[in-house]
Amino acid sequence: MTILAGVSGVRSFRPMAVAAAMVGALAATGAAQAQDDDISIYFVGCAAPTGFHGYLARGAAEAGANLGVNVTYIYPDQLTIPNQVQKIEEAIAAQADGIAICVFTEDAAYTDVVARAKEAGIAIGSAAAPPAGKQVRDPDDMFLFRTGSDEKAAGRLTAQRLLSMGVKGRVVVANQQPGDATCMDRANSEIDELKANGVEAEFLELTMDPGQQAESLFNYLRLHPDTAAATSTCDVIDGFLAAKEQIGRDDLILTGYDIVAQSLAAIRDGRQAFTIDQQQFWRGYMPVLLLTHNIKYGLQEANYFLTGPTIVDKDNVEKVAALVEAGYR
Amino acid sequence: MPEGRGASLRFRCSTQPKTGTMAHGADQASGGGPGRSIVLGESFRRFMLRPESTALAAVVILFVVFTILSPQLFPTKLTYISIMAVAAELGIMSIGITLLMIGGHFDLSIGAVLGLTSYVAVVLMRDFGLSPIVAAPAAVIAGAALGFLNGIIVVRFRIHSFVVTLGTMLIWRGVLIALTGGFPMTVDIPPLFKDVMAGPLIFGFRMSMVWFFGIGLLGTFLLTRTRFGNWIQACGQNPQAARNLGVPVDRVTVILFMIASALGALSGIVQVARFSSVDALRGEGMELQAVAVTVIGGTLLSGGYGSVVGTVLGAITFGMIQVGLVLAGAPGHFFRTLTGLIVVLAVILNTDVARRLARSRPLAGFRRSSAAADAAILGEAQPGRDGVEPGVIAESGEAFRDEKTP
Repeated sequence: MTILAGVSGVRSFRPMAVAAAMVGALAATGAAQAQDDDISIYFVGCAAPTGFHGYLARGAAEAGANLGVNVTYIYPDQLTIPNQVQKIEEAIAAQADGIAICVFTEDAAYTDVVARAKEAGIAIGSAAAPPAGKQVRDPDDMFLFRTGSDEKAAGRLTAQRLLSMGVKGRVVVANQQPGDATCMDRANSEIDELKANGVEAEFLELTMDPGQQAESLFNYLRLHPDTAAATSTCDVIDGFLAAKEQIGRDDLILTGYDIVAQSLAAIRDGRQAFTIDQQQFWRGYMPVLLLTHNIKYGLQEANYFLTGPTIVDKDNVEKVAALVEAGYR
Repeated sequence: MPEGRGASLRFRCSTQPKTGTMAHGADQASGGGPGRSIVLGESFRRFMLRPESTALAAVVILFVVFTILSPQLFPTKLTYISIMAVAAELGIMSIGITLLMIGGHFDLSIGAVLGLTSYVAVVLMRDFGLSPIVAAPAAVIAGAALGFLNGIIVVRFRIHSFVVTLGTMLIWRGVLIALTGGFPMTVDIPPLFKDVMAGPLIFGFRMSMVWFFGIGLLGTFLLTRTRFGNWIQACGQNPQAARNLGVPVDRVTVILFMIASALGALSGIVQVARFSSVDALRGEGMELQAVAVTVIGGTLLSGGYGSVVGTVLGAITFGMIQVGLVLAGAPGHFFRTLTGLIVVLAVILNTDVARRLARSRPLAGFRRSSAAADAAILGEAQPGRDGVEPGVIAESGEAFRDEKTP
């Protein structure tokens, strides 16, 4: 844009001069592009770039293409702290200019490896949510930035939406992946928020099998007929929809997290009230942007960047579905 | 194999009436046959030595416990429907695992096979427009093909099936994740197919229960009434000895893997019909649940011994735990813990208690003989056959022989 503005400013000069200026500008652009292409950013993901993580990888790749920097997405075969730290060390060994990490556990797990990266002069940031409730960056934060959805805020948002819908009685918050810290944050904060507002809320542990989910939830609803709403803290919602049909409770409010085909269909036809989206495309895109600008210009954001939570309900489901189709949500 | 388990296997094989044999009991000392209560007691002791008996005991105990904990809701038809829905979907694949484990092998890939073959069914229906009548058998055949690969690798390279199927589990799961992109896929299923596979048509019970019991019956027939069933047990007990006796061990092994994977695929079809969907993690963890169900049902991890009926009861036990814990209001955070605890207790019941029973002295003078006691027990069951001539056993010596591992 700056170059084009310069060209428009020399319209009164002779054509040859304009041409020379354009050639010079293009040469300068090419030099800058070549310089950007030398920037190497490693995105250390949590999992293979499919499904949910596919959006992160796509966001990182698109940012790399837009900014003209090289982005390499790497991930551990099994998501454990040692495996992921090993991948970060591989990125350091590859002499990356910047590293973005899909942080999935406590900061303490990364302290040593982040210090080593800094010693090697590598810019390093987190593609995960900041500490709950914190929006202004801590000057002592070991990461340059944090970009992600606040999962505790997501839990509270679910609770608040349920309260605004007039939910009384009991809410069951079920988790198919009890070992997953993200799902537990969502569950615990929703339960806390509901209880703080006088609504009985209870945690229910499930398995990943939709048949077992359906029967467990169905029997929970038999045991607690005063249950007004059920939340799935993961994106597998089949069992919840089946249990609702089985119990014959059209008034049962179902809520979930993340966007999958079943959720969109159920929101459209009213079986599910809403789902919480974290816009994970941004979790891939923004770290590459922030690292590039930090490396090139020394810029550093003062705030943490929250990609979510946002609500998808009947009002915006069609719009979101189109974005899902396009690969951005 | 525990001594008592071997004994019970002999009991199963010796249920035909044997004339000319006799119980050597205390009652005989007074000149008559053993008393009815003694014979009944010995019958019970012997029944408890059968592989499925402790699974049945687990079902009864859990039923009583959960009924006490949730008297209003647990002993109701809705609960039974729920239990059978869980038991059927898990049990169908567990029957295949049972046959395989009796044959001396494991299949850790069965959950991934369920997921991958469910994907095959969904894609054939959704993207190729095939009828489920075609897509479902095609998925089952695909499952059998995956099992064939497992079996061929095991028998050709002589690698333990645990390792082979651990590898193929990762491969099938990885392929499924790649093919689905990690996202669930939905498909429209004709209502008739949904009903036939998993519809609540039997007084509210799902059709999956009919498939489950039907396959259980077939599995039992295969194991106990066919030459192939005999081969399965022989392969599991001592494959080299079986080979020396002319049993085609490799062929049996490959067929067992094919049966297990085909039944895994059938479980997947039931779920596809019920939920009209498949996702990248479908079936994950179910391989271990199937092993748990099989072990609860009395099948030995070491192979060579087990029961399909036991597995059916084991699956019902598992379903009862799943449903019962919820209805009993168990703390949500401890659901897995409690499930695991109950599974361990059930297995202890099935192994330690059974072993003690096997070591226990037969009642009132019965020796560890099959023939003599069987005759008396059979007589108890068939009035009029009680009085068999005393002394014959002592002469033949058969009544005094301890039964050992076959």
